[in-house]
Order: sequence, then C-alpha cells, then structure tokens
Amino acid sequence: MADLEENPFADATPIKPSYPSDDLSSNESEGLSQIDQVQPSANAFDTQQREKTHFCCEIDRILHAGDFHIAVSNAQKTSDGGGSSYITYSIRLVEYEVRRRYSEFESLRRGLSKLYPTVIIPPIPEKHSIADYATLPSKAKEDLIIEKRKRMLQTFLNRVATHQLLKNEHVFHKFLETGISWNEVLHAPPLSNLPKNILQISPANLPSTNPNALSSQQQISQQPPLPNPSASQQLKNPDTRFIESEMFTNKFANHLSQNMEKTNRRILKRLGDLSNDYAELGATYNTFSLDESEDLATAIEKIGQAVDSCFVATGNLITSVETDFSEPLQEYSQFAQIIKQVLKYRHMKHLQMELTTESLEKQKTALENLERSEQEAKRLEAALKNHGGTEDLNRPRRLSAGDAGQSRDSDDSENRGEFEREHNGINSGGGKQLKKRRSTLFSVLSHTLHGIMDVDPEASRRSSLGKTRESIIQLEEALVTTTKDLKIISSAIQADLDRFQRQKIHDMREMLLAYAKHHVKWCDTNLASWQEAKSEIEKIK
Amino acid sequence: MSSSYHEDEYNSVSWDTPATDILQSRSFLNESDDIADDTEQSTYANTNTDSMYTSFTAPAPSLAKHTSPLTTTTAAYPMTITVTDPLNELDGTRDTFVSYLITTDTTLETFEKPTVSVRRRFQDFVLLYNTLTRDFPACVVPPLPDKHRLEYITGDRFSAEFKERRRASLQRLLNRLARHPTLQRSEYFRIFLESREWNAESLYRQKRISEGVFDNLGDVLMNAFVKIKKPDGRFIEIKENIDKLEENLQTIERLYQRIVKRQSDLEADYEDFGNSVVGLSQLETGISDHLNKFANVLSKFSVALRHLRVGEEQDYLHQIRDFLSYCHCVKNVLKLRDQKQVDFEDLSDHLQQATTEREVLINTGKGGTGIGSFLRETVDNIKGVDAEKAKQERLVKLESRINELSREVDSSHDESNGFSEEVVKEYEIFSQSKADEMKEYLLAYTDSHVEFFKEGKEMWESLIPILESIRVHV
Repeated sequence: MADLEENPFADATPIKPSYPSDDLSSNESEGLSQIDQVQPSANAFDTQQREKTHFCCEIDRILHAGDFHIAVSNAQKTSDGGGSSYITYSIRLVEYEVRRRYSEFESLRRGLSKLYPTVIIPPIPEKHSIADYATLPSKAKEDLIIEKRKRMLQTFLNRVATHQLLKNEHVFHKFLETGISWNEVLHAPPLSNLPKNILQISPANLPSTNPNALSSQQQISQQPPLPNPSASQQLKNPDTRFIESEMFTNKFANHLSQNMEKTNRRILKRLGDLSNDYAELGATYNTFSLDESEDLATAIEKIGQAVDSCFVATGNLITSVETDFSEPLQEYSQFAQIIKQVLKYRHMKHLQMELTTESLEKQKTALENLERSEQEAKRLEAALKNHGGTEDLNRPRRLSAGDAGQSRDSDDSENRGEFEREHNGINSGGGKQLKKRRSTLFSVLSHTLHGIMDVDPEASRRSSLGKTRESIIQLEEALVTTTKDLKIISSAIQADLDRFQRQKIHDMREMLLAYAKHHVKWCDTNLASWQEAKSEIEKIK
Repeated sequence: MSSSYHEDEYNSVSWDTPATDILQSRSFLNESDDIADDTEQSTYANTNTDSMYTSFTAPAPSLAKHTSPLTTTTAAYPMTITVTDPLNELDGTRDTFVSYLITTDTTLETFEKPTVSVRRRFQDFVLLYNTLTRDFPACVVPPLPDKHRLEYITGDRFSAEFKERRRASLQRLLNRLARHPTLQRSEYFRIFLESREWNAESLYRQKRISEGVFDNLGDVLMNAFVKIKKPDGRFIEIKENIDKLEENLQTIERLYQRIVKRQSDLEADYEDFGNSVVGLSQLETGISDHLNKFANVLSKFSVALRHLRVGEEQDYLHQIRDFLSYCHCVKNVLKLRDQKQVDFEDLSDHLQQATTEREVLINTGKGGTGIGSFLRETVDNIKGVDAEKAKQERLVKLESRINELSREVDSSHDESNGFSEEVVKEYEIFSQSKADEMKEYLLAYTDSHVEFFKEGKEMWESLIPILESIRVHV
C-alpha cells in the first residue's frame, strides 16, 4: 500500500511507455511456432557407436568395409534441353557410378551440415565468382578450373565417406547410388523435414541423444518453442574451452587466408612468370647456337636445353605444388570458416539456454509479484467485508492502480514470451501469422483497456497468473532441453574438433612433405641438365 | 725527327697526305731498333699516326730482336695478368681515386722480370686504351669499362661493389690484351705494366693523345655514309657474324634484366612464405618445431636463390655487356677498314678521271668535254692565249697530277690491302678470344646453376625425414 501511495502517477500513467515500440514491432512479425517442429533424421539409429551389424544399404556396407576410394572423374558438359548447359561429374565407388552436378554437391553439403550441426562437414570447392567467368579467356584455363574442382570434390566425398558419423548417413549413400534422383532425396525426409532454423531442434544424429529416436522426436514436437538469440549477443557465462577454440579458429582462419594462401600464391605466380621467361631464354640460346659453330655451338645448345628443361620443370613444380599444397591449403582455409559456423551454432545454443534461464527467472519474479498482489487483494477483500462499505469509494481506485501495474508487468513477460514465439514461428504460413498477429494485437489492446478501465481487475489478474504459471512450466521444460542439448552439443563438437585436429596434422604433414619433395624433384631435374651443359662447355677448346 | 712532329698533324686516312710521308715513316721504323730502349722516342714512334699502318705489318721495333716477324705469327705469348686489391688513394681528400694492383707473369723477354707488379688507376687504363687505339688502328683494342658517370656524381664509385665490378671489367680488358699477339707485345703496354715512372710519362702522353684521337673520330663520322663500291665478301661475313653475335647477346641481356628482377621478387616471396609458416608454427604448437624447420629451409632457399641471382647479375650480365662492347670495337675496326677501301676507291676514281681527261686532251686538243672546257677555251680565246701552248701547259699539269695520283692509289691500295689482311687476322684473334671468354663465362654460369640446384636439393631433402617424423593418429 505504501509504495502505491508514493507513486501518485501510477494510476494515471498509460501502460504503453513501459514497453514502447518493442511490443508492437515484435508483435507485427510474430508467427505461429508450433508447425515447424521438425522430425529429426530417422538416421539417428545409424549413429550409434557400436559395431555395425545392420547396414542400411549396400553402399553403407562398402563404406564400412574400409579400403575403398571414391573417384570423381570425367567432367561432362550436359545440356538440360532448355539451352543452358552445366557440368556433371562422374562419381565412382566400386561398381556404383553416378553423375552429379555441382549444385547437387552443394545441396548435399548443405543438407549434411543441417543434419549434423556439430560436425565439421568438409568443404566443397568454392563457386566460380562472376569475375572468374569474366576473366576466363581460354578453354585451357576453364579445363584447369574443372580439373581442380574434380580433385576437390573427390576429396570432399572421401572425407565424408571416412567420417565416423557421416559415413552412416543414408542421404550420403543415396548421393553415391546409381540411378537415384537427387531431387527426390532432397524432397523426402529427413532433408525435407529440416527447418530453416536448426536452432529450433535438438541435434539428432548424435551418439548420446536418446537411443529411442522416435520417442524423443515426439517429445520435441511437443516441446515449447525455444528462444532465438541474435548472433551478436554475448554469453554471460561463456565456456572457456570454447572461447579458446573460437579465438584459435579466428586466428587460424585469418592466418591461412590472409597470409599463407597469399604468400604461397605469390610464389606460384612468380614461378609461372619465371617459367615463361625461361622458355624465351631457352629459345634465344637455341638461336644463338645456330649462329655459332663447333664446340661453342654445341655448348650453347646444351645451355639452351638446360634452360628449356628448367622451363618444363618449373611448370611441373607449379602444377604439383598447386595440387598437393595450394588446394589443401585452400581447403583448410574453408575448414576454418566451417569450424566458425559449428562454433557459432554452439554459441547460439548456449545463448538459447541462457535466455531461457533468464526468461524463467523473470517469469518467476512476475509470478511472485502476481501472487503477492493476489494475497493483498484477498486480504483487502477480507478487510472490506469486515469494515463494511466505508472505504468503498477508494478501493477500486487503489486496486486499479496496483492492478494496472501488475498487468503491465504480466504483459511484459507475456509479450516477451510472444516475442520469442514469434521468432520461432517466422517460417510458418503468412496467413496464419497475420491472423495470430491480429489476435495478439487485439489481446494487448484489450488488456490495456481492461487495465485502464478496470473492467474486471480480478479476472485479468487471475488470467495473467495462470498464463505466467503455464509459461514457467514451458520454460522449465525448455531449460531442461537446452541444457541437455548444450551438453551433448559441446561434447560432440569437442570430439569432432579433436578428430579434425588429428586429421589436420596428418594432412599438413602430407602437404609439407609434398612441397619438399616437389622442390627436390625440381632441383634434381635441373641439376642433371645443367651438369650436362657444363660437361659440354668443358669440351670447348 | 723533329719534322715528324709536324707531320703528326696529318692523318694517313686523308688522301692528300704527301706521298713522302709513308716513306719517311718507314725509314723511321728502320731506325727504331736503335731507339727501342729510349722510352720517349719509342713513344714518339708509336704515337706517330703515320706509322699506324706499318707498325703492325712490320715487327714492332722493340720486339724485332726476340720474335719472328708478327706478320707470320698470330700466336700470343703466355702472359697472365691479374687485377687485384682495389685501394683508395689520397683518401679523405678531394682527389681520392682508386688504384688496382696489376701483376704480370710473362716470359716475354722485353720485360725486366718474369713477374712485375704496379698500381694503376682507371685514368691510366684510359690512357693505355687511347694510345693503343691510336697506334694500332687495325687492331681490335679491347674496350674500357663503362665510365659510370652516375657513380661519380653520387660518390658510389668507392663502394666495394662498384670497385669489384670495375676490377672484374679491368681484369677482362687486360686478359684480352694479354691474349692479343700484337698488343701484348706493344711497347706502350709493356710500359703500362712495368714502368715505375709512369706518372711523369702519362702526363706527357695525355697531352699528345688528346690531339690525335679527335681527328680519327672525325674521319669515321665523316665517312659514315660512304658506300663501298666493291664490297669484300670476307668482311661482309665478319660483319654479319658480329651482328648476329651482338643481337643474340643483346637478347640474352635484355631477357636477363627481366629474369633477374623476377628472381629477386621470388626471393622475397619465399622469404615471406617462410614467415607465414613461422606464423603457422605459433598456431600449430604440436608441430611447431617441424614447421620452423620447414620455414628455415624456405629462408635458406631464398638465400640460395639470391646467391644465384647475384651471380647472374654481377658476373654473367656484366661479362655479356663487356663482351658486347668488345664486339662494338670489332665493328669500329671494320668501319675503319671500309674507310681505307673507300679512300682507295676514291683515289682510283680521281686517277681515272685525270687519265680520261688527258686522253681527251691529247685526242681532241680540247681540255675535256662539257660546258667547263668550252668556257675555258672561250676565255683563252678572248685573252688571246695561244691554244696550243695552253694545251701543253695543261697537259704537263695533268701529267704531274696523274703521277701523283698513281702514287697515292698505289699506296692507298697497299694500305687498304694491308689493313684488310690485318683485320682478317684480328677477327681470328677475336674469334679465339670469344671462344675462350665464352667458355669461361658459360662455365661460371653453369657452375653457379649446378651449385644452386645441388644446394637446393640437399636442403629440401634434409627436410623430408624431419617432416616424416611427424606422428599422427587418424
């Protein structure tokens, strides 16, 4: 009572200013959330880390038998009949052969990264930029780019096929299987069930998720919508391990793309120029030798040959370093970006959990306040009954003040809930969204009107009380889910990061070795031809 | 002797030189045996431009005692000259200059000792060059290194790099002289290599040479556009060979300027990439040691590249440039030879004209044909000069002119032929020199490549076991 007295404006103040524009703007875009609850992939079964006895298909069996190689070969220009043409790549695994185009690789990769948000899905070669097309002067250069794509697509498929989790994915098997229309795979579960926003589902396909995938699926579909954090939000209690991972990934990504790739590319570019100069120089020596006679002519001719072989050897060096060093380097640069995405997913899940906790606490406070005023109301009512009608005039006014404040509070929390829901429901049908928005607007208005007019303060208070309790139950459920999800996600990501680190060291070893060996070969070839030239010069009298 | 000083102003290339001149210089040469030891007089003998033709056809005065006549030998005496130890003299003053230690090993008996050492500065080489060019116009006198005026202005000529470059160039110059059978025996070269009273002598010479060289230059310029009537196949071929050689060397030089630039960029690129790998080693702590070793090889490789490039730039490229100026000298001598032939052909023309005129005069009684003769006759008639007497007078004049011209034609024919023969020999010497030098340069050139690739191979190979020791468990 006392604080009510102290706030002379309390009853006069309109409701709106406390949540000025936020309410409206969020309400405007609010949508229905329930419909896009998604069935997680049925393949959750396959991800069990146990000795596999049941194979979902023949390709699954082949991939688990080990000692296989997926070859991408024979890029072919195919016309779709409508005038536009595209390139298909022939993929071969044992007796299976299928042709897929770049966009199909792209959708496979996209599908995998949604099905396995905690896995570092290997990259596919980058799309040609428009600049690439514009600066493509020759067929030869185009062929080079296609060759490079073939190699990188092949690496992609083999990396997926040897990944502990990914190799079980039936969607992937279908990609490799002869005679399967990829378009159908894309429009069938599990891919067709995936929501646009994967934050709304618990990650399936994880070894530690509920072994009974179907029932967990049911649970999820009933589970209340989870909050959708914005990417720029900071965590209150960040996980130190992942802070480090994030920092490292950023540094690694920067160093690779800003430094390593650039300096490496410069060397290759310069070697290419130099190689062309050698070609010209070799030709000059050959002309020179024709103008000279006897020993000197032979000697100069040999030098010309040495320079020519230098030209050829340098060309070979460039091609080999390009294939065995630059391309993997580029791949790792992409890997770093992919890891960023995976870590971001974890970050969002973490935020989701923190936001849930936060809302829960707010709702709890709101509930407490509501309950307190309910108590007070009861007490006042009892007192009124005892006193008779003496204070009749005052009662409603005071109550209305208190009630208005409360209802504003409850509006606040309810609106927030709606705000969250609206985010979740972004993807639902437009019509429904509009309808829902209207009804929400209407309810807000009626709330406000009720508050001001104090039509039935008790009824509105009780309804907020009920709503708050309901929302607390939902939030508690959500908190359980998000907390569990976060734990699973974190350990799954950590596991894949560990795997990735081992793979990276292995690949780097191979890259560096290839780099050194190609340089040895370059020196060796050149050494031989220059030594030959030298012995010829020694013969000059 | 003193008359010869005045005759010095004549140049043998001008056809109106008194015929007696050649005779005189020949008689002078006969005396020269006696004066061989007299430095000043032998200097005179050599600087007398009139003797330039005879001085190479006849044995050089001071050598006559020891060697067979030069006309029958083109073999050079063993002679090794080294240019070492550039030294700043009068350091700290405005007159600072660099002197080089020149050591000569030779069995030539004109030398006091088999091994002699002197210090000479660049200006002395200029003097040597000018003197030899003047004394032996038919010889291809190896060219001086570039003057490098820019370095003179910036003061860079005292940098170690510049001194070394110049030393190498001077070394090449002296090598070429030592290989040249005529020039190696020339008196003035001996003095250059041996004399202890060089300074006093060089001052005296400098004065004298500055008068002559300019004239020679003028001649070449004046006759640059004169065409030879009967081209000599031998010299056309020589000219073509030199042109081709020049063209080839120029192309190589031009290409190398580009290559050297690229190589130097490549060095920086490998160095940068090495730094990138060092950066990576700070991120990949598990294999930082291996990565650092890899980076270290990249940086060593960059150094080896640099070594190769500097060799190409400072040795090979300069050798080619020096050789190109040597080619240029050959072409100058060829031009001079052409000039001799043009002189002879011009004189022959004049003689032919005079003879024709005389015949016409005798046969027709008229002093030639054309409007000129007609006018003269008309004037004579008006003056009342006796036509017959005038005819006789003119015939006598013409007769003496024909005699004079015949002598000139003969001498210029001899001179032109002698010069030509000498140039043929010079070209042989030059060709041998070319083979010797090319062998030397190309050997150094291939050596540096062999060395580089060997080194590169070793350093990259050493890396393989280190990289293989990276343990991974996938």
